[in-house]
Amino acid sequence: MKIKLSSNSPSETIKIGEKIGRNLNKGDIIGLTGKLGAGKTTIIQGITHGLGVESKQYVRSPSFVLIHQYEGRLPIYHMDLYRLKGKEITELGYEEYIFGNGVCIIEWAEKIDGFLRKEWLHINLEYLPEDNKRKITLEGKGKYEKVIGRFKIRLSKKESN
Amino acid sequence: MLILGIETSCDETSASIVKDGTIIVSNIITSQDKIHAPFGGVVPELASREQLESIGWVVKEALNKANTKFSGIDAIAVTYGPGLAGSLLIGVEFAKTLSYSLSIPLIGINHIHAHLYANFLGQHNIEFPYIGLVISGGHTSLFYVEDFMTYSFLGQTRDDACGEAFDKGAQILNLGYPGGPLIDRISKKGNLSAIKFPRAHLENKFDFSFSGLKTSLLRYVEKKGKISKKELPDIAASFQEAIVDVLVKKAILAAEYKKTDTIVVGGGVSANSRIRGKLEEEGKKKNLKIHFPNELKLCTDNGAMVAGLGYWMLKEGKTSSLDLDIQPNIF
Repeated sequence: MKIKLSSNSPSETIKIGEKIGRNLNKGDIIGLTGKLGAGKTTIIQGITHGLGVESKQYVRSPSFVLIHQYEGRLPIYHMDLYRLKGKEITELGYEEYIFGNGVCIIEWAEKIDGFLRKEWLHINLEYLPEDNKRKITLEGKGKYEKVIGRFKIRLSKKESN
Repeated sequence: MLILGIETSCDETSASIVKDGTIIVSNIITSQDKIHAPFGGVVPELASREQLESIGWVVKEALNKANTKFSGIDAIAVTYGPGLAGSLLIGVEFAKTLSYSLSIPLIGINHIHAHLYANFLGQHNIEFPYIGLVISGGHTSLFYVEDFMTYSFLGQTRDDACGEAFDKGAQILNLGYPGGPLIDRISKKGNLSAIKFPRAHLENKFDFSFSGLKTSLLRYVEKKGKISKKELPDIAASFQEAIVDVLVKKAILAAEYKKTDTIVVGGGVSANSRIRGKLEEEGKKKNLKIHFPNELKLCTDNGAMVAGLGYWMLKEGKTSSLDLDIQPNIF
Protein backbone atom coordinates (compact mmCIF):
# COMPACT_ATOMS: atom_id res chain seq x y z
CA MET A 1 0.00 0.00 0.00
CA LYS A 2 1.30 3.41 -0.92
CA ILE A 3 0.50 7.00 -0.01
CA LYS A 4 1.64 9.76 -2.32
CA LEU A 5 2.07 13.25 -0.91
CA SER A 6 3.55 16.45 -2.15
CA SER A 7 5.37 19.19 -0.29
CA ASN A 8 6.01 22.75 -1.41
CA SER A 9 8.62 23.67 1.17
CA PRO A 10 10.95 22.28 3.85
CA SER A 11 8.45 23.35 6.53
CA GLU A 12 5.69 21.35 4.82
CA THR A 13 8.02 18.36 4.65
CA ILE A 14 8.69 18.74 8.37
CA LYS A 15 4.92 18.80 9.06
CA ILE A 16 4.43 15.55 7.14
CA GLY A 17 7.31 14.08 9.16
CA GLU A 18 5.67 15.16 12.42
CA LYS A 19 2.47 13.30 11.50
CA ILE A 20 4.47 10.17 10.75
CA GLY A 21 6.45 10.52 13.98
CA ARG A 22 3.31 10.75 16.10
CA ASN A 23 2.15 7.39 14.73
CA LEU A 24 5.31 5.39 15.37
CA ASN A 25 5.75 2.65 17.95
CA LYS A 26 8.56 0.84 19.70
CA GLY A 27 10.61 -1.28 17.30
CA ASP A 28 9.49 0.52 14.15
CA ILE A 29 11.94 0.76 11.28
CA ILE A 30 11.74 3.63 8.83
CA GLY A 31 13.91 3.56 5.75
CA LEU A 32 14.43 6.64 3.61
CA THR A 33 15.50 6.73 0.00
CA GLY A 34 16.07 9.60 -2.38
CA LYS A 35 18.96 11.47 -3.94
CA LEU A 36 21.30 13.92 -2.23
CA GLY A 37 19.31 17.02 -1.33
CA ALA A 38 15.91 15.33 -1.69
CA GLY A 39 14.98 16.21 1.91
CA LYS A 40 15.69 13.02 3.87
CA THR A 41 17.23 14.79 6.86
CA THR A 42 14.46 17.42 6.70
CA ILE A 43 11.60 14.92 6.98
CA ILE A 44 13.51 13.16 9.78
CA GLN A 45 13.58 16.46 11.67
CA GLY A 46 9.78 16.32 11.53
CA ILE A 47 9.59 12.63 12.46
CA THR A 48 11.73 13.17 15.57
CA HIS A 49 9.60 16.16 16.63
CA GLY A 50 6.54 13.96 16.18
CA LEU A 51 8.23 11.44 18.45
CA GLY A 52 8.61 14.09 21.14
CA VAL A 53 12.16 15.32 20.58
CA GLU A 54 12.18 19.03 21.44
CA SER A 55 12.57 21.31 18.48
CA LYS A 56 15.53 23.07 20.11
CA GLN A 57 17.43 19.78 19.80
CA TYR A 58 18.97 19.84 16.34
CA VAL A 59 18.52 16.73 14.29
CA ARG A 60 21.59 16.84 12.09
CA SER A 61 22.85 14.71 9.25
CA PRO A 62 24.85 11.72 10.54
CA SER A 63 26.53 11.08 7.18
CA PHE A 64 29.98 11.35 8.69
CA VAL A 65 29.48 9.92 12.16
CA LEU A 66 26.91 7.37 10.92
CA ILE A 67 24.61 7.29 13.94
CA HIS A 68 22.93 9.97 16.03
CA GLN A 69 20.76 9.02 18.96
CA TYR A 70 17.92 11.13 20.38
CA GLU A 71 15.54 10.71 23.27
CA GLY A 72 11.89 11.33 22.48
CA ARG A 73 9.02 9.33 23.93
CA LEU A 74 11.10 6.43 22.58
CA PRO A 75 14.84 6.19 21.92
CA ILE A 76 15.51 7.18 18.31
CA TYR A 77 18.45 5.87 16.29
CA HIS A 78 19.11 8.05 13.26
CA MET A 79 21.49 6.26 10.89
CA ASP A 80 22.99 7.21 7.59
CA LEU A 81 24.47 4.70 5.16
CA TYR A 82 25.59 7.35 2.67
CA ARG A 83 29.25 6.41 2.90
CA LEU A 84 28.76 2.67 2.86
CA LYS A 85 28.91 0.42 -0.18
CA GLY A 86 28.59 -3.24 -1.02
CA LYS A 87 27.13 -6.24 0.71
CA GLU A 88 29.66 -5.88 3.56
CA ILE A 89 27.06 -3.60 5.16
CA THR A 90 25.15 -6.69 6.24
CA GLU A 91 28.18 -7.77 8.28
CA LEU A 92 28.05 -4.60 10.32
CA GLY A 93 26.66 -4.41 13.83
CA TYR A 94 23.36 -2.67 13.08
CA GLU A 95 21.21 -5.43 14.57
CA GLU A 96 21.36 -4.06 18.07
CA TYR A 97 19.75 -0.84 16.87
CA ILE A 98 17.39 -2.27 14.27
CA PHE A 99 16.03 -4.96 16.55
CA GLY A 100 16.26 -2.84 19.69
CA ASN A 101 13.75 -0.95 21.81
CA GLY A 102 13.59 2.29 19.92
CA VAL A 103 12.63 3.66 16.57
CA CYS A 104 15.22 3.21 13.87
CA ILE A 105 15.39 5.75 11.06
CA ILE A 106 17.78 4.90 8.24
CA GLU A 107 18.89 7.23 5.44
CA TRP A 108 19.97 5.56 2.16
CA ALA A 109 18.00 2.48 3.23
CA GLU A 110 18.13 0.98 -0.27
CA LYS A 111 21.61 -0.18 0.68
CA ILE A 112 20.28 -2.60 3.30
CA ASP A 113 16.92 -3.47 1.79
CA GLY A 114 17.65 -7.22 2.01
CA PHE A 115 18.93 -6.96 5.53
CA LEU A 116 15.71 -5.33 6.71
CA ARG A 117 13.89 -8.55 5.79
CA LYS A 118 11.50 -6.58 3.63
CA GLU A 119 9.71 -5.22 6.68
CA TRP A 120 9.97 -1.50 6.94
CA LEU A 121 8.17 1.72 6.39
CA HIS A 122 9.64 3.10 3.23
CA ILE A 123 9.70 6.86 2.63
CA ASN A 124 10.95 7.94 -0.77
CA LEU A 125 11.64 11.59 -1.55
CA GLU A 126 12.04 13.04 -5.01
CA TYR A 127 12.63 16.61 -5.97
CA LEU A 128 10.57 18.12 -8.73
CA PRO A 129 11.73 20.76 -11.23
CA GLU A 130 10.22 23.58 -9.13
CA ASP A 131 12.86 24.56 -6.59
CA ASN A 132 11.33 23.59 -3.28
CA LYS A 133 8.80 21.00 -4.41
CA ARG A 134 9.14 17.39 -3.31
CA LYS A 135 7.18 14.22 -4.03
CA ILE A 136 6.95 12.03 -0.93
CA THR A 137 5.86 8.42 -1.20
CA LEU A 138 5.12 6.29 1.86
CA GLU A 139 5.03 2.54 1.39
CA GLY A 140 4.47 -0.09 4.04
CA LYS A 141 6.39 -3.30 3.52
CA GLY A 142 5.53 -6.52 5.37
CA LYS A 143 3.72 -5.79 8.63
CA TYR A 144 3.89 -2.07 7.82
CA GLU A 145 1.14 -2.52 5.23
CA LYS A 146 -1.29 -2.15 8.15
CA VAL A 147 0.59 0.83 9.57
CA ILE A 148 0.30 2.57 6.23
CA GLY A 149 -3.43 1.86 6.22
CA ARG A 150 -3.71 3.71 9.54
CA PHE A 151 -1.58 6.57 8.26
CA LYS A 152 -3.76 6.88 5.22
CA ILE A 153 -6.82 7.44 7.36
CA ARG A 154 -5.06 9.80 9.77
CA LEU A 155 -3.26 11.80 7.14
CA SER A 156 -6.41 12.32 5.10
CA LYS A 157 -8.31 13.34 8.25
CA LYS A 158 -5.62 15.84 9.22
CA GLU A 159 -5.44 17.22 5.72
CA SER A 160 -9.16 17.71 5.35
CA ASN A 161 -9.28 19.64 8.64
CA MET B 1 55.33 15.45 33.33
CA LEU B 2 54.49 12.90 30.62
CA ILE B 3 50.86 12.25 29.65
CA LEU B 4 49.74 9.44 27.37
CA GLY B 5 46.82 10.54 25.21
CA ILE B 6 44.51 8.04 23.49
CA GLU B 7 42.04 9.00 20.73
CA THR B 8 39.70 6.47 19.11
CA SER B 9 36.51 8.44 18.55
CA CYS B 10 36.01 7.75 14.86
CA ASP B 11 38.22 6.17 12.23
CA GLU B 12 41.67 6.97 13.59
CA THR B 13 43.53 5.09 16.31
CA SER B 14 46.03 7.44 17.84
CA ALA B 15 48.31 7.51 20.87
CA SER B 16 50.69 10.25 21.84
CA ILE B 17 53.06 11.24 24.61
CA VAL B 18 53.05 14.94 25.43
CA LYS B 19 55.40 16.61 27.91
CA ASP B 20 54.06 19.36 30.18
CA GLY B 21 51.01 19.88 28.02
CA THR B 22 52.77 21.47 25.05
CA ILE B 23 55.73 19.44 23.79
CA ILE B 24 54.84 16.52 21.54
CA VAL B 25 57.27 13.70 22.27
CA SER B 26 55.47 11.19 20.04
CA ASN B 27 52.18 11.18 18.09
CA ILE B 28 51.23 7.95 16.33
CA ILE B 29 48.14 7.93 14.07
CA THR B 30 47.04 4.93 12.05
CA SER B 31 45.12 6.48 9.26
CA GLN B 32 42.56 3.90 8.33
CA ASP B 33 41.77 5.51 5.01
CA LYS B 34 43.19 2.55 3.12
CA ILE B 35 41.03 0.08 4.97
CA HIS B 36 37.93 2.20 4.45
CA ALA B 37 38.49 3.16 0.85
CA PRO B 38 36.36 0.34 -0.65
CA PHE B 39 33.38 1.64 1.35
CA GLY B 40 34.07 5.28 0.56
CA GLY B 41 34.26 6.29 4.19
CA VAL B 42 34.06 5.25 7.80
CA VAL B 43 32.46 1.93 8.63
CA PRO B 44 31.63 1.79 12.33
CA GLU B 45 32.06 -1.88 13.10
CA LEU B 46 35.12 -2.10 10.90
CA ALA B 47 36.52 1.01 12.53
CA SER B 48 36.17 -0.46 16.01
CA ARG B 49 37.44 -3.88 14.92
CA GLU B 50 40.43 -2.23 13.32
CA GLN B 51 40.96 -0.13 16.41
CA LEU B 52 40.93 -3.19 18.63
CA GLU B 53 43.73 -4.62 16.50
CA SER B 54 45.67 -1.34 16.36
CA ILE B 55 45.38 0.11 19.85
CA GLY B 56 48.02 -2.17 21.44
CA TRP B 57 50.80 -1.49 18.97
CA VAL B 58 49.89 2.17 18.51
CA VAL B 59 50.32 2.80 22.25
CA LYS B 60 53.52 0.72 22.29
CA GLU B 61 54.85 2.66 19.31
CA ALA B 62 54.05 5.96 21.06
CA LEU B 63 56.08 4.80 24.07
CA ASN B 64 58.95 3.55 21.88
CA LYS B 65 59.16 6.78 19.89
CA ALA B 66 59.23 8.68 23.17
CA ASN B 67 62.00 6.42 24.50
CA THR B 68 59.96 5.61 27.55
CA LYS B 69 58.01 2.75 29.13
CA PHE B 70 54.65 2.49 30.87
CA SER B 71 56.47 3.19 34.13
CA GLY B 72 57.56 6.58 32.78
CA ILE B 73 53.99 7.82 32.22
CA ASP B 74 52.38 10.08 34.83
CA ALA B 75 48.74 9.95 33.68
CA ILE B 76 46.47 8.75 30.87
CA ALA B 77 44.05 11.00 29.00
CA VAL B 78 41.40 9.48 26.72
CA THR B 79 38.58 10.74 24.50
CA TYR B 80 35.19 9.66 25.93
CA GLY B 81 32.95 11.47 23.39
CA PRO B 82 31.50 12.50 21.06
CA GLY B 83 32.01 9.78 18.46
CA LEU B 84 31.10 6.26 17.45
CA ALA B 85 30.17 4.18 20.49
CA GLY B 86 32.09 1.05 19.49
CA SER B 87 35.23 3.00 18.66
CA LEU B 88 35.13 5.17 21.78
CA LEU B 89 34.74 2.08 23.98
CA ILE B 90 38.00 0.60 22.81
CA GLY B 91 40.02 3.66 23.76
CA VAL B 92 38.22 4.20 27.06
CA GLU B 93 38.45 0.58 28.20
CA PHE B 94 42.10 0.39 27.19
CA ALA B 95 42.87 3.58 29.12
CA LYS B 96 40.94 2.44 32.19
CA THR B 97 42.79 -0.86 32.26
CA LEU B 98 46.16 0.91 32.01
CA SER B 99 45.20 3.44 34.66
CA TYR B 100 44.18 0.67 37.05
CA SER B 101 47.17 -1.58 36.48
CA LEU B 102 49.72 1.27 36.57
CA SER B 103 47.95 3.11 39.43
CA ILE B 104 48.11 6.45 37.62
CA PRO B 105 45.35 9.05 37.09
CA LEU B 106 42.79 8.72 34.30
CA ILE B 107 41.43 11.85 32.58
CA GLY B 108 38.35 11.74 30.33
CA ILE B 109 38.57 14.26 27.48
CA ASN B 110 35.89 15.84 25.28
CA HIS B 111 36.99 15.37 21.66
CA ILE B 112 35.68 18.79 20.54
CA HIS B 113 37.57 20.64 23.27
CA ALA B 114 40.68 18.68 22.36
CA HIS B 115 40.42 19.87 18.74
CA LEU B 116 40.69 23.46 19.96
CA TYR B 117 43.55 22.50 22.27
CA ALA B 118 45.51 21.28 19.22
CA ASN B 119 46.40 24.95 18.71
CA PHE B 120 48.33 25.10 21.99
CA LEU B 121 50.72 22.35 20.92
CA GLY B 122 53.93 24.12 19.96
CA GLN B 123 52.34 27.60 20.26
CA HIS B 124 52.56 29.67 23.42
CA ASN B 125 51.00 32.96 22.47
CA ILE B 126 47.26 32.22 22.66
CA GLU B 127 45.34 34.22 25.22
CA PHE B 128 42.01 33.49 26.89
CA PRO B 129 39.19 34.15 26.41
CA TYR B 130 38.87 33.17 22.78
CA ILE B 131 36.24 32.14 20.22
CA GLY B 132 36.68 28.48 19.30
CA LEU B 133 35.51 27.26 15.89
CA VAL B 134 35.52 23.48 15.42
CA ILE B 135 35.05 22.41 11.81
CA SER B 136 35.18 18.82 10.58
CA GLY B 137 33.22 16.08 8.85
CA GLY B 138 30.99 15.60 11.86
CA HIS B 139 31.03 19.02 13.55
CA THR B 140 30.60 22.73 12.92
CA SER B 141 30.44 24.49 16.28
CA LEU B 142 31.26 27.84 17.88
CA PHE B 143 32.32 28.22 21.51
CA TYR B 144 33.36 30.98 23.86
CA VAL B 145 36.33 29.60 25.77
CA GLU B 146 37.45 31.18 29.04
CA ASP B 147 40.10 28.67 30.07
CA PHE B 148 41.04 25.04 29.35
CA MET B 149 38.07 23.88 31.39
CA THR B 150 35.31 26.40 30.58
CA TYR B 151 33.48 26.29 27.25
CA SER B 152 30.23 28.15 26.54
CA PHE B 153 28.37 26.86 23.53
CA LEU B 154 27.33 29.55 21.03
CA GLY B 155 25.99 27.65 18.04
CA GLN B 156 26.37 24.73 15.68
CA THR B 157 25.12 23.34 12.39
CA ARG B 158 21.43 22.58 12.15
CA ASP B 159 21.88 19.98 9.41
CA ASP B 160 25.13 19.08 7.61
CA ALA B 161 28.59 19.70 9.05
CA CYS B 162 30.87 21.81 6.84
CA GLY B 163 33.24 18.87 6.22
CA GLU B 164 30.24 16.86 5.09
CA ALA B 165 29.27 19.67 2.71
CA PHE B 166 32.77 19.47 1.18
CA ASP B 167 32.44 15.71 0.91
CA LYS B 168 28.99 15.74 -0.69
CA GLY B 169 29.91 18.67 -2.93
CA ALA B 170 32.88 16.65 -4.21
CA GLN B 171 30.57 13.72 -4.86
CA ILE B 172 28.13 15.91 -6.82
CA LEU B 173 31.08 17.22 -8.86
CA ASN B 174 32.46 13.69 -9.30
CA LEU B 175 35.78 14.62 -7.73
CA GLY B 176 36.15 11.55 -5.48
CA TYR B 177 37.03 10.98 -1.83
CA PRO B 178 38.14 12.59 0.46
CA GLY B 179 36.22 15.60 -0.83
CA GLY B 180 37.74 18.40 1.28
CA PRO B 181 41.34 18.31 0.02
CA LEU B 182 40.16 17.68 -3.58
CA ILE B 183 37.88 20.74 -3.62
CA ASP B 184 40.61 22.81 -1.96
CA ARG B 185 43.11 21.82 -4.65
CA ILE B 186 40.90 22.33 -7.70
CA SER B 187 39.49 25.62 -6.31
CA LYS B 188 42.94 27.24 -6.46
CA LYS B 189 42.54 27.36 -10.25
CA GLY B 190 39.00 28.73 -10.14
CA ASN B 191 37.16 32.02 -9.80
CA LEU B 192 35.54 32.04 -6.36
CA SER B 193 32.88 34.56 -7.34
CA ALA B 194 31.90 32.90 -10.64
CA ILE B 195 28.65 31.51 -9.24
CA LYS B 196 26.65 33.00 -6.40
CA PHE B 197 25.75 30.06 -4.18
CA PRO B 198 23.46 30.79 -1.19
CA ARG B 199 24.59 31.58 2.37
CA ALA B 200 22.12 30.57 5.07
CA HIS B 201 20.86 33.17 7.54
CA LEU B 202 19.37 31.70 10.71
CA GLU B 203 17.53 32.93 13.80
CA ASN B 204 20.44 32.01 16.05
CA LYS B 205 23.14 34.07 14.38
CA PHE B 206 25.81 31.59 15.50
CA ASP B 207 24.12 28.55 13.96
CA PHE B 208 25.09 27.13 10.58
CA SER B 209 23.26 25.34 7.79
CA PHE B 210 24.88 23.76 4.74
CA SER B 211 22.10 21.52 3.50
CA GLY B 212 20.57 24.19 1.25
CA LEU B 213 23.96 24.92 -0.28
CA LYS B 214 24.35 21.25 -1.19
CA THR B 215 20.93 21.24 -2.88
CA SER B 216 21.78 24.45 -4.68
CA LEU B 217 24.98 22.93 -6.11
CA LEU B 218 23.02 19.88 -7.16
CA ARG B 219 20.43 22.02 -8.96
CA TYR B 220 23.16 24.00 -10.67
CA VAL B 221 24.92 20.88 -11.90
CA GLU B 222 21.65 19.31 -13.07
CA LYS B 223 20.62 22.40 -15.00
CA LYS B 224 24.02 22.58 -16.66
CA GLY B 225 23.87 18.95 -17.72
CA LYS B 226 27.52 18.40 -18.50
CA ILE B 227 30.25 20.27 -16.64
CA SER B 228 33.27 21.12 -18.76
CA LYS B 229 36.78 20.71 -17.41
CA LYS B 230 37.26 24.42 -17.82
CA GLU B 231 34.24 25.29 -15.71
CA LEU B 232 34.83 22.79 -12.90
CA PRO B 233 37.39 24.87 -10.94
CA ASP B 234 35.01 27.87 -10.97
CA ILE B 235 32.12 25.81 -9.59
CA ALA B 236 34.31 24.19 -6.93
CA ALA B 237 35.84 27.54 -5.91
CA SER B 238 32.43 29.25 -5.70
CA PHE B 239 31.00 26.35 -3.68
CA GLN B 240 33.99 26.37 -1.32
CA GLU B 241 33.69 30.14 -0.94
CA ALA B 242 30.04 29.81 0.14
CA ILE B 243 31.14 27.51 2.99
CA VAL B 244 34.24 29.51 3.96
CA ASP B 245 32.42 32.85 3.80
CA VAL B 246 29.86 31.80 6.41
CA LEU B 247 32.46 30.22 8.71
CA VAL B 248 34.63 33.34 8.62
CA LYS B 249 31.75 35.81 9.06
CA LYS B 250 30.23 33.98 12.03
CA ALA B 251 33.55 33.43 13.80
CA ILE B 252 34.30 37.17 13.53
CA LEU B 253 30.74 38.06 14.57
CA ALA B 254 31.14 35.84 17.64
CA ALA B 255 34.44 37.54 18.53
CA GLU B 256 32.79 40.96 18.28
CA TYR B 257 29.75 39.82 20.25
CA LYS B 258 31.88 38.40 23.06
CA LYS B 259 34.36 41.29 22.86
CA THR B 260 37.40 39.09 22.48
CA ASP B 261 40.23 39.55 19.98
CA THR B 262 41.24 35.93 19.51
CA ILE B 263 39.82 33.17 17.29
CA VAL B 264 41.07 29.59 17.51
CA VAL B 265 40.14 27.04 14.83
CA GLY B 266 40.36 23.25 15.06
CA GLY B 267 39.19 20.08 13.28
CA GLY B 268 39.92 18.55 9.88
CA VAL B 269 38.51 21.44 7.82
CA SER B 270 40.98 23.82 9.51
CA ALA B 271 43.52 22.32 7.09
CA ASN B 272 41.64 23.97 4.20
CA SER B 273 43.84 26.65 2.62
CA ARG B 274 41.00 29.04 1.78
CA ILE B 275 39.56 29.14 5.31
CA ARG B 276 43.07 29.82 6.58
CA GLY B 277 43.68 32.56 4.05
CA LYS B 278 40.32 34.28 4.35
CA LEU B 279 40.08 34.21 8.15
CA GLU B 280 43.62 35.62 8.44
CA GLU B 281 42.78 38.34 5.92
CA GLU B 282 39.41 39.34 7.39
CA GLY B 283 40.69 38.98 10.96
CA LYS B 284 43.57 41.36 10.20
CA LYS B 285 41.10 44.08 9.18
CA LYS B 286 39.46 43.78 12.62
CA ASN B 287 42.72 43.46 14.57
CA LEU B 288 41.92 39.89 15.55
CA LYS B 289 44.49 37.23 16.35
CA ILE B 290 43.74 34.08 14.41
CA HIS B 291 45.15 30.66 15.30
CA PHE B 292 45.18 27.41 13.38
CA PRO B 293 46.95 24.17 14.39
CA ASN B 294 50.64 24.26 13.45
CA GLU B 295 50.54 21.19 11.26
CA LEU B 296 48.03 19.13 9.31
CA LYS B 297 48.49 16.18 11.65
CA LEU B 298 47.07 18.32 14.46
CA CYS B 299 43.96 19.37 12.49
CA THR B 300 42.63 15.84 12.11
CA ASP B 301 42.02 13.42 14.98
CA ASN B 302 45.16 12.76 17.04
CA GLY B 303 46.22 11.67 20.51
CA ALA B 304 48.50 14.67 21.15
CA MET B 305 45.60 17.10 21.53
CA VAL B 306 44.04 14.70 24.04
CA ALA B 307 47.25 14.30 26.06
CA GLY B 308 47.88 18.05 25.99
CA LEU B 309 44.46 19.02 27.31
CA GLY B 310 44.75 16.17 29.83
CA TYR B 311 47.78 17.87 31.39
CA TRP B 312 45.80 21.01 32.28
CA MET B 313 42.81 19.03 33.52
CA LEU B 314 45.12 17.01 35.76
CA LYS B 315 46.65 20.21 37.12
CA GLU B 316 43.14 21.35 38.06
CA GLY B 317 42.39 18.00 39.67
CA LYS B 318 39.79 17.14 37.00
CA THR B 319 40.53 13.43 36.85
CA SER B 320 38.02 10.66 36.10
CA SER B 321 37.19 7.57 38.09
CA LEU B 322 37.39 4.05 36.70
CA ASP B 323 33.69 4.12 35.94
CA LEU B 324 34.28 6.73 33.21
CA ASP B 325 31.70 5.97 30.53
CA ILE B 326 31.61 6.86 26.86
CA GLN B 327 29.28 9.70 25.77
CA PRO B 328 28.78 9.34 22.00
CA ASN B 329 26.40 12.33 21.77
CA ILE B 330 27.89 15.11 23.89
CA PHE B 331 29.05 18.33 22.28
